[in-house]
Amino acid sequence: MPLIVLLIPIYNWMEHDLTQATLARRETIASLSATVVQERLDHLVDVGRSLAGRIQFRTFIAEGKWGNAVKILESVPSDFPVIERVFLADTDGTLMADTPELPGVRGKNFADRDWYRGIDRTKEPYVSEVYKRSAEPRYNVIAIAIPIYENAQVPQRALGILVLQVKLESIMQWIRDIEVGEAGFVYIVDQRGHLVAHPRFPVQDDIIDFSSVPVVQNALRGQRGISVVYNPIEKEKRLAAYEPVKRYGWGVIVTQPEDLAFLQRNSNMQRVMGIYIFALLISTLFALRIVSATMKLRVAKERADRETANAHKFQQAVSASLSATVITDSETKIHYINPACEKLYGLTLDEVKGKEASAVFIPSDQQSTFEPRFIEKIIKGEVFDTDELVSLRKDGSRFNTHVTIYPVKEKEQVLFFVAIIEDITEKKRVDQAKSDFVSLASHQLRTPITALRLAIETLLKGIVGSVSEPQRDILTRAQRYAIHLAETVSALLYVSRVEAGTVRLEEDAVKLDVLLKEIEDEHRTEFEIQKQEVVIDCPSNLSIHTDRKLLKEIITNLMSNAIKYTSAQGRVSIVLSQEKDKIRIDVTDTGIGIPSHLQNQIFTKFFRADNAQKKKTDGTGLGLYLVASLTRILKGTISFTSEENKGTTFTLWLPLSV
Amino acid sequence: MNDKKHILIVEDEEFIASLYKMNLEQKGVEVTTVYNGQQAIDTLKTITPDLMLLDLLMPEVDGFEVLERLKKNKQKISFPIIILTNLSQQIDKKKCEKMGAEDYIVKSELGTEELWSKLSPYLKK
Repeated sequence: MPLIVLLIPIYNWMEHDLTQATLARRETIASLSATVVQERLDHLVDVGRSLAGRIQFRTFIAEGKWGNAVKILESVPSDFPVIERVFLADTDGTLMADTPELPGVRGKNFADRDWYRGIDRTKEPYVSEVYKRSAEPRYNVIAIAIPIYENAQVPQRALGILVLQVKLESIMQWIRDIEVGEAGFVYIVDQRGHLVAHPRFPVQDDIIDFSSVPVVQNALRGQRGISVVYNPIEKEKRLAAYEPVKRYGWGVIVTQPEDLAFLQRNSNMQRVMGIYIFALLISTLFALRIVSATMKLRVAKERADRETANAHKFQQAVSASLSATVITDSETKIHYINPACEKLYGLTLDEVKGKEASAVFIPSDQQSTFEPRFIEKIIKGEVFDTDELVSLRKDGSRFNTHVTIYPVKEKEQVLFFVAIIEDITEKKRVDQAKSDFVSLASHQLRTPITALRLAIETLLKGIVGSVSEPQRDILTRAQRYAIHLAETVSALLYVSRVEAGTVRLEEDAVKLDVLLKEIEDEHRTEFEIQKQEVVIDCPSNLSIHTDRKLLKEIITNLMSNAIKYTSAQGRVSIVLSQEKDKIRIDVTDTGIGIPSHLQNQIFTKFFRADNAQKKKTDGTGLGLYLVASLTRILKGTISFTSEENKGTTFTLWLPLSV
Repeated sequence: MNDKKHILIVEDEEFIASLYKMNLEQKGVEVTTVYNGQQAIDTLKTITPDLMLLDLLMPEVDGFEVLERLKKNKQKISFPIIILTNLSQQIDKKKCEKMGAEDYIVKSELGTEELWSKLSPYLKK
C-alpha cells in the first residue's frame, strides 16, 4: 500500500520531467533549423554583395554594358549550385541580361515582383517571397536581390539590381537532414506564410499558403515557442515548435505527431513504472533518481549548446568595445575576454579560456572580500557592482578596478555573466589629490582666521585692558568680518567636498531634540545680540537615522539665515514633527523675506537677493546652495514659502532612514 | 586646597594657545599650555588635568600620535580629551573618536563663548 501511495507523486514527477525534455528537444531543433536557414541566406546575400561589388562589373553596369557585365557572372550557377540563375535588372525592374540565358525574358519588366518591391522599399539586399518564375518550365523560386551601387562604400543612387534565383529544391536540402524523430519533419515558410520547403507538399510546383496556420503566424510575428495543433486533414494532434528567421522575416516550424513525440516518453514511463511496481521501495527511488538525472542532463546539455551559440553572437559585439569586458559561463569560467581586457591585464584569451575568472583576475588574498558579496548578489540574480576591487595583472602587479557584473538570463536561468572592468587607478589618484588639497587648504586658511577671531574677542572682552567706545566699535566690526571669513571658508570647503563627491554618508541614529539643543547653544550669543525670540519645538522622542553632521550643517545654515535676516525683536522658530515615514522640519522667521521674482534662484551658488545684500553684507551666497546639495545627499526635499517684509518658512522633509 | 579646574592646552601656535589661555582663565580655570605632542605626554606624567584640549596638526609628535600613545600605554585616562583643530574632515573626526577623544571642535568655527559652553559640561563632573 505505501508503495502505491508513493507511486502517484513519483509518476507525476517523472512525467513532468520527461515531458519537459521532449518539449525542449523540439524547441532546440526549431532554433537550430532557423539558424541554419538564416546562415544559408546570409551566405547567399554575401555572395551577391561581393559579386555586385566587383569594380569591373560596376564599371560595365555604369556604362550600360549589361551583356559584358553578365559575362562576368557566367560561372556563378556552376560555382554555387544553389543559385540556379543570375540576372541583372535596371532600376525600373526591367531585365537587361541573364545567365544562363533564357529566351523571351530580356526587356521584360518585373517591377511587380516582390524582389523588386522589397529592394525598392529597403534599398538593401532583399530575400523575396516564393514566386513562379516567368520562363518555362514555370516552377517556383525565390530571389535574392542585391542593389548595385557605383561606389559600394557610399551607396547613393543604385545603378541596377543583381538577382540570384534559387530553386526551392535547394532550400529543401538545407533542412532535409535534420533529425526530428518518427514522422517528424521541418518546414519553412516565407514572409507571407507561403511554403518554401516542406517534405510532404510539392512546393516546387504550387504556391501553398500556410498563412492561416497559428504556429506559422506566431513565427512570422517574430515569436518562438511550442504548441499542440490539431490537423483536421490527417486527424491527428501534432506538436509544433516554431522559430522566426528574423533577418528575412521567414519562419521555421518543427512538427511531429504528439503521440509519436511522446512515444519515447510513454515507453520510458511504462518500462520504468513496471520496474517500480515489482521492485523494493529503496531501489525504486534509486532508479527514479537516475532516470530523472539523465533527463535533466540532456535538457542541460541542449541548453548549454544553445547558450554557447548565443554567447558567440554576443562576443562579436563585445570585441569592439573599448571597455575591458569578460564573458563567463554560468559557472564563472572564462568564455571570452575582449582585446581591451587582454591589454589591461597583459593576458591573451587563449591563456585564460576555461579558467575560473576570479582566480585569473583577483589576487588570492583578495578573494575573500569578493566572493561572498558576489555570491549573495548572484543568488538574487542582481547586477553586482564592486566599489573598488584590487586586480592582478599577469606580471603580478596590482591595480584598482571597478567591476560591474551582469547576469544574462533566459527564463530566470543564468546563461552567462558579462563583467565590465574599469581601471580606476587614475581616478583614485585625482580623488586623493583633491582630498589632500581640501585638507591642506582647510588648515592653512583656518589657522590665521582662528588667531584673528580669538585676538579680537580677547580685546573686546577687556581681558587685556579696558576698551574705549570708538575702539569697541572698530573691533566689533572687525569681529564681524573675521566671523564672516570663517563661515565662508567652512562653507567653501564643504561645497568643494560635496562637489568632489568626497562627502561620505555616515548613518547613525540621531536624537533630534539633543541635536537641536546643541545647535541652539551654539547660536545663543547671536540670539542674545539680536534680542530675538527663539522657539524650538521638538517632541522629545523624535529620532532619525541619517548623517548627523550633514543634518546639523543643514539646520545650522537655515537657522543662521533666519537669524541674519530677521531684525531685532523678531521671532525665529524651528518646529519638528513626524509625518508617516518622514521627518518634517520647519524653520520660520519674521525677517525680510525673499522677493517673489528672485524666489527661483535662491538655491543657486553665490546667489544673494538684493534685499539681503542691503540688510547684511556678510552672507556668503553658499548657505542655501549647500543646504540644497546636502538635502539631496540625505535623500530629502526642501521647499519654502516667503513674503517680502513678512518672513520666510523653509520646510525640510527627510526620510526616517537614508 | 586649590579647587580650581585645570585644563591642559596642546596647541603649536603659541599666539592662539595664549589667547585660549587668557579667555579660559577669565572663566576661572587654571590653564597649562604646551606646544607639541611630546611636551603633552611629558606633562601628563606629572600632572593630571581635568580636561585636555588637543590640537591635531603639530610638528614632531602630532595629536593623533598623542592619542595613540596614551592608548598604547594603557594609562588610565581619568580626564576627557577634546580635539581642538582646524581639520574638519569627517574621517579625522571618526579616527579621533575611535582613539578615545570625547569631542571634536573645529577651531575657526567657534568663538570663545561657544567654546566655553561646550567645555563647561565636561568640567562639572
